[in-house]
Amino acid sequence: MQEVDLTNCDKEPIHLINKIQLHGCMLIVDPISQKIIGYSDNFQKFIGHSSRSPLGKKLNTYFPARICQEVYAVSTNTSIFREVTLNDQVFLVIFHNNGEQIIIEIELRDDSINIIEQQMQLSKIFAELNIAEDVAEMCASAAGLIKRFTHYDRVMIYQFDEHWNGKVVAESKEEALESWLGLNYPASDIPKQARALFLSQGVRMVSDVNGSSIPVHIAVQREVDFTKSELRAVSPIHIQYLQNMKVGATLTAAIVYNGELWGLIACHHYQKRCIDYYTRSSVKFLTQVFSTQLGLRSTNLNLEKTNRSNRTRARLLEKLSANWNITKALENNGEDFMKLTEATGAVVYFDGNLIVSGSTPDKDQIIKLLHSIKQSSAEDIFLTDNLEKRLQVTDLTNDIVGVLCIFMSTEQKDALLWFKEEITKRVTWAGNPKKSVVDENGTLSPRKSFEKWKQIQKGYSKPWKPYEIASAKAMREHISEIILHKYEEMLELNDRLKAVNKELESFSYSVSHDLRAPLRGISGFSQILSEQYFDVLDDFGKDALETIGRSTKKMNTLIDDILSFSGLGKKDAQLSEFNMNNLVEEVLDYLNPKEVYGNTDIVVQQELGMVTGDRAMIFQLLSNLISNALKYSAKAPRPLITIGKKSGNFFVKDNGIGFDMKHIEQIFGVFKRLVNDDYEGSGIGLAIAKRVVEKHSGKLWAESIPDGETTFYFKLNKSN
Amino acid sequence: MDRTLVLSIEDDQSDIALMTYILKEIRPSVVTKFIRDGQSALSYLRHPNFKANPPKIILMDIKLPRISGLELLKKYRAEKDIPQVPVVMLSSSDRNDEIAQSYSNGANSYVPKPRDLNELREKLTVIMEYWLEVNKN
Repeated sequence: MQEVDLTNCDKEPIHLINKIQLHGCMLIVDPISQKIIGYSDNFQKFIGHSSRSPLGKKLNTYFPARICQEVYAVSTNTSIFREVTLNDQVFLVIFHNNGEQIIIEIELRDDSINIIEQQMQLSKIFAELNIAEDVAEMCASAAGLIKRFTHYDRVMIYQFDEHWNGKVVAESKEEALESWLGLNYPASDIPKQARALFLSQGVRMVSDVNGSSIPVHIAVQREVDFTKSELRAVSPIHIQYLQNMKVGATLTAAIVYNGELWGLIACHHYQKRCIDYYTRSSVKFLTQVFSTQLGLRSTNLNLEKTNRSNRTRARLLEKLSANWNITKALENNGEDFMKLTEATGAVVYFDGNLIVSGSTPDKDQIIKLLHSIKQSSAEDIFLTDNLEKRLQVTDLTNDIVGVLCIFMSTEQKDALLWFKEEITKRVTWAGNPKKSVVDENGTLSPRKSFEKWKQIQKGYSKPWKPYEIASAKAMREHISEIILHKYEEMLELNDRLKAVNKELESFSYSVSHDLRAPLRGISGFSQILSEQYFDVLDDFGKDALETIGRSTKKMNTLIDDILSFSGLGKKDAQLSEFNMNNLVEEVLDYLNPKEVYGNTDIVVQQELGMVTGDRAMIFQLLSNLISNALKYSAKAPRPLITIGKKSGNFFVKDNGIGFDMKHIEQIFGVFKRLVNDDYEGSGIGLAIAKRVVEKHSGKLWAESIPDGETTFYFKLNKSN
Repeated sequence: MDRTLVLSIEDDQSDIALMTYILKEIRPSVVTKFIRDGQSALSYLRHPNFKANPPKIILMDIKLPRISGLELLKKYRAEKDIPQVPVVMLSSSDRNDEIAQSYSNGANSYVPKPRDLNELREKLTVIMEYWLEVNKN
């Protein structure tokens, strides 16, 4: 016995089998000589004619001249049928020209069929198909209607996927039969050339799976193409497949959508069953109507999906536009982002950050995957429904095997990714395993087919549909637009901020200036008072004068600092190279700590080295940092200040009162003071220090613990 | 008693009061005429009275209403028919561009206004002694 593996069928030239089924007979005519060049073994017996071999005879030996003329005139690729009475028996004669020969097939006319009644029945069916709301409902409805129309034991609607694997999407059956609804079949169950035949023939009947077939005798040394033959015998392998399922007869109609085989209407009977050509033609017509309706509804469904995706995108965009932080907005709306496609999970990869939603691989796996994608392709879009085949990537978490990756730019840096799980993960055997048809020879059965299908599907996700890709691409364009828009907005804001800042600087400059004159008046006249009238004042008056003096001094310092701070805004750093140790010495000379802070030990590390910068500014920076350190450590038991350099950064450290690091942002702001008036200061010193460092494209930061050490670090960028 | 006329172009009330006091203290014979904005000052400089009785020295604030000190100085120095008196620019700031501009516009000296009374005394004493000496007649 030939080993039965349905993939063998792929190679079997089934349209060239010179055999027909039992329920009819066949003649082959040469259109030029108009003589019979072939006949089926049962021809004479079938039509009740006792002549010898019909080979070489003219057709009018058997048929009326009217029919013969029509047969000779039949054009290629059309089938014509006529009712012909031969020897008091009504036959249906179906003939077509296959391009080389004319093939005449003769079947019995079923007397019980009333054509008018059948047409009425059909129009009812069409009406019922019309009211079905969606594809699923229409399939279910069609299965039931066809069952009622043809009386087969089981009618299934079978849908192909992109790899030609099939699935039973609707079924109508005799109650006693086990349901096959939801079953999946591998592509090999309906091999390629069988699919081609379905596509060209439309409806195909196998009247008796277990019956023998009739040989066709052909007088020419050439193969005869039986593609369009109604009676063509079935491939032995397919017969065995049907036998394994205990099927006695089948009727199959092709559902064609957009010129492609969408699926099949498969009717099974458990005894032999033959329906006549009229009924088959009706089924063919019904299937065509069904296909058209299906096309319409599929288009609607696709449109609906596209619309839904568009709505989701619009909603998402609204949220993204309203938020400055795009990553944050995407994070909060991950679900919507995922639902732009039919993915089970999605990831946004921005600036090295992953925003994950749904079912995806692990973060490490995603990073590795991105790397593999970049290595394999320079395109800005990458997609596959089988990562193992495409990138040799396996064993991802959540059984992810499909990915749609869109890079934000051709540099392949930031990316949007959608993921799909392996199909088989969510598909289960629909029937009850105990009741399923198991073939004792262990060859072919629905269960085996399912197992095989599972193997074939292993590693595959659902494919990426055009609307999903379009939606993902649109999302990228929108995000780019938003980013660009935000960038422009930011530039504009930045410009405005600069202008406002400048205005503020000149404002504070002139205000401070204008404050000088009245202050000079206050200070001058209070001094004149104390020079000229000190003796006539009582103690309180003297105190008051002194307070005025102190206050004006303090205010002068404040104005100095504000002027210095706002002055820094305008100035560019005047670079020169100088010795840092020398500068520190100068600052210490200027601050003269011995006078006020006699207790404080000041340690200056040697070898601070040469520095490039604006010497006057850095003088200011150091004097601010050191005077701060002096001020805040003064009350420590043994005040200690260290000025040094650590890993390229200068630092000023004290053991004073310290501060809580949660206020770190505040201390560099203008007029931000963390302490009370016990510690003198304008509150601008650190703001000035920060500005000096910024003028040198450097960095100023601090580390501190409350009641402990405080260290201010700064780093200067020489390039300025 | 000999009167030494000093023209001060100054808009700030407290500076005026302070300078009046100090100038009197330095040199009791000083009579200070104050003009409080640039436009009025220019009119006065062009007035026959100014030509008839010019001051020994002009103390000019840089920041003045209507016409700034620098502008006023430039216009004054451009006048050929009126007496050219030493001009000392006074300013609350010490910006380099201001200093340079003052000298190029014809100032004889530039003095930042000190914040301390004694310092102001010193400065004004030096200014008065030097420029009155230079401009004796």
